[in-house]
Amino acid sequence: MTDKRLLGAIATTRFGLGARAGEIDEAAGDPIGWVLAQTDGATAPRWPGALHSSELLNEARRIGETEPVARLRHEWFAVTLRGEQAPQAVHACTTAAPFRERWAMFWRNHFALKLGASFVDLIGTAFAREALDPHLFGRFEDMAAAAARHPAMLMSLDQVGSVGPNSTLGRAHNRGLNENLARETLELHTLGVKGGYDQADVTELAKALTGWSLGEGVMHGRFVNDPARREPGPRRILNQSWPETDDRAEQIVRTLARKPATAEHLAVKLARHFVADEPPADLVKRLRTSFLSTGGDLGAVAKALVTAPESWVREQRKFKTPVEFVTSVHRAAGTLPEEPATMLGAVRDMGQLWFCARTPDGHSDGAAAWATPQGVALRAHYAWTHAHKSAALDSREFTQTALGPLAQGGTKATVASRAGGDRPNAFALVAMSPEFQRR
Amino acid sequence: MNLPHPTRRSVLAGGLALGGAACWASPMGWGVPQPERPRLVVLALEGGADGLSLAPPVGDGAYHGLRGKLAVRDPLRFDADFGLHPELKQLAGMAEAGEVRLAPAAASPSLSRSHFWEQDVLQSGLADPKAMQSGWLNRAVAHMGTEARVQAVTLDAAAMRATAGEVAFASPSAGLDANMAWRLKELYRNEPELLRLVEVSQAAQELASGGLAGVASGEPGEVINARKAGRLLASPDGPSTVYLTLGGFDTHENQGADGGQLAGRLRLVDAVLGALKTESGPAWAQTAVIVFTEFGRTVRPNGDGGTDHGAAGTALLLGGAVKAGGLLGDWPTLARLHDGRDLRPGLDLRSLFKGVLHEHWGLPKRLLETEIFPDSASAPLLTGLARS
Repeated sequence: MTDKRLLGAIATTRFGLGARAGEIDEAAGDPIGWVLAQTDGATAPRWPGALHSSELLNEARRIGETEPVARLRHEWFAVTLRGEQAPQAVHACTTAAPFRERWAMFWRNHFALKLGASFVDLIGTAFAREALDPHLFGRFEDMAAAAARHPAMLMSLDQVGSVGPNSTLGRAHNRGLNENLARETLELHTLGVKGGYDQADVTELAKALTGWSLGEGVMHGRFVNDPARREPGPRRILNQSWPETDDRAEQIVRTLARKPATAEHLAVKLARHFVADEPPADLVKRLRTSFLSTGGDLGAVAKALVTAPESWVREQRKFKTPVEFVTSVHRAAGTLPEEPATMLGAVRDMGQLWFCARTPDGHSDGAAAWATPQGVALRAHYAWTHAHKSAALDSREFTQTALGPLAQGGTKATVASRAGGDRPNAFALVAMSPEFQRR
Repeated sequence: MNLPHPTRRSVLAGGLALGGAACWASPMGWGVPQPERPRLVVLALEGGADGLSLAPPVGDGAYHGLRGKLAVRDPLRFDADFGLHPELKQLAGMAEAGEVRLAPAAASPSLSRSHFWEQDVLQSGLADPKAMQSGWLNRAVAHMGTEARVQAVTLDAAAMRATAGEVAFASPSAGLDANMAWRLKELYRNEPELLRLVEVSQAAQELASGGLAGVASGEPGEVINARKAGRLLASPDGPSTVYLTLGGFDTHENQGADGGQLAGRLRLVDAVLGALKTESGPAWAQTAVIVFTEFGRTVRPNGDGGTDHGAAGTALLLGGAVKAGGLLGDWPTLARLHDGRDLRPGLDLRSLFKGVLHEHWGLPKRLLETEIFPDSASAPLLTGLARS
């Protein structure tokens, strides 16, 4: 019984977003089954009324015709914040399928949109809905292709301005390549920085990607494949020749997404994200093998991760990110802030952005980035501030809800001796305990 | 879990490895005041600040012709060849006192015109910024061998690349009061790494509450942060290093000249530098401030009344510890441009960083060439910068 509860507690923290009341017991019956049931597409959240990215970009253009850019940003930010970002943050705090949300967060960070590049941060939620969510447990090459050609990514990585120097448009206006999307597709999204490509491959991929851009007029805000921008001629990438065809760029991205180097890159990142900053070699091997033997089926990779013995060791080797910490506090307390958007502000103060990142390589997944003096101080402030607004919880009951068998004797003793009858204090102490800070 | 924190032993080992080089870093106890310590402030202007407006090359015959309506008409005097933007009044005063050195064509080694790449190169101090996760400033602080309770401070919310690494940079804007710290220390009594973070955070709070009371409100946040930084530098047991950032320099449109958008940001730079000097008081004499940006901007205006990403930009070295002298690096002139559009580099920024760490902090050359700035042999360290 105790062992089962321990596995339930591990399931809700390592694979979920921190336990809600009763969730440890719910998961304890069949911990692996509890996680894997969430990979069923039927549990995907829906966002009624959420606008398509092209509608958002058209709306931005409409406001921009009469308002200055700063005002436009301000207004639009308010719209997306209220309309979708805050509800999604609330969803993370309340969902009964937290593994699905964690998995989605991982891929959002893998295909991170860069803050401040045009308006990409404001259509980050639409990007995730349109390009990533449909493929979370599908084939990685489908996700990679959808992400690479999405307007948000084209803007984030400057593909919109990239023109083949010998294309019709390039010759007429003396325009040239921007290799940003090509480089990051190789380095960040598929093969990885030591994935065996060189500068010639980057340049060739950049030439192959020319033509991908955003439309104008009725196609405003939508992906176009414009032959007038396309660099003519065959391309050679990683020793493979590609004659000029309309869908060549997408086929190249798909091919890159199936490479063994991509499997290795993703296996290391997944093992590091879910299990340990120094990922266990056996786990990396399992994930890599699963990816390659199934043609990059992310559902199979998720199953390999969740069924691996390395994933269920008791030792907590990950330090929660700000998003994971804030989310788990609210899940454990069963409460939400009066103004949900304050959660986004709190994690921003701690150095993390919920729906984009400062750089296209995403947020760090290591303790070094988050276990800082200001990080601990801001978490403590958040825990105590929130504790005083929380429902009156019995300290022993709350410890059991949040940590179950993961609670250490030292934490229980400190809570018992220092919190006394002060329930907010007990809540904050549990939230700041080492075993709650880690997962 | 590997958390970044210097153990007492590793700090001492670092000091011993340096031998007598860092002679001021005696093996003192935890938190012993060091009123005479050298202080370093690093101020990053993010977005690519336009050096040709910050310090207009008034002696270069091509300046007005190439810059057109972006040319500064009425600059303050720096020297015979360079002016300072009219909003940089306090800086001009420091220049007159011989406290300011100008690098009019400073650049990173890579000239990629990418914010992301250049910031990473200049903050990591690495030709390949992916090779290590830490920043050059953090590696330098780790080798200083000081055991001050708060060695280094950042006033930024996010953990910046420059400050990432072994040394925990404290944030006085987000400290822990004694009450919270006491409870956390009990929770973490078997967790030395978390305990260390609480101690640094509490020390930051004590420093802040001891020295930051009465910092004027109503000023922009960046200036308030600079006031806090100045107070911390003044404190006898305060930090040796402060890292500051100031954004808003990516002026692709409506940049302005003597007035306008960029002028507003430069007014803020001037207020920040003035606040640092005023608040640090007598400690200003031991202080050096490096101001740098990730790249300069195109020499000619673009079609939008602004400028696009360029190559070399302007860096400054100022403070009471700075030696008076001439330009840092060369002025490549505007007669011939990089790729026909950008200012050519006259100084590798790593030469400036290395020179300051060597002369001001006493870090040995060998260490600077190997651990702090590996692969920087092409950027020999500058000399004659600072009084040690």
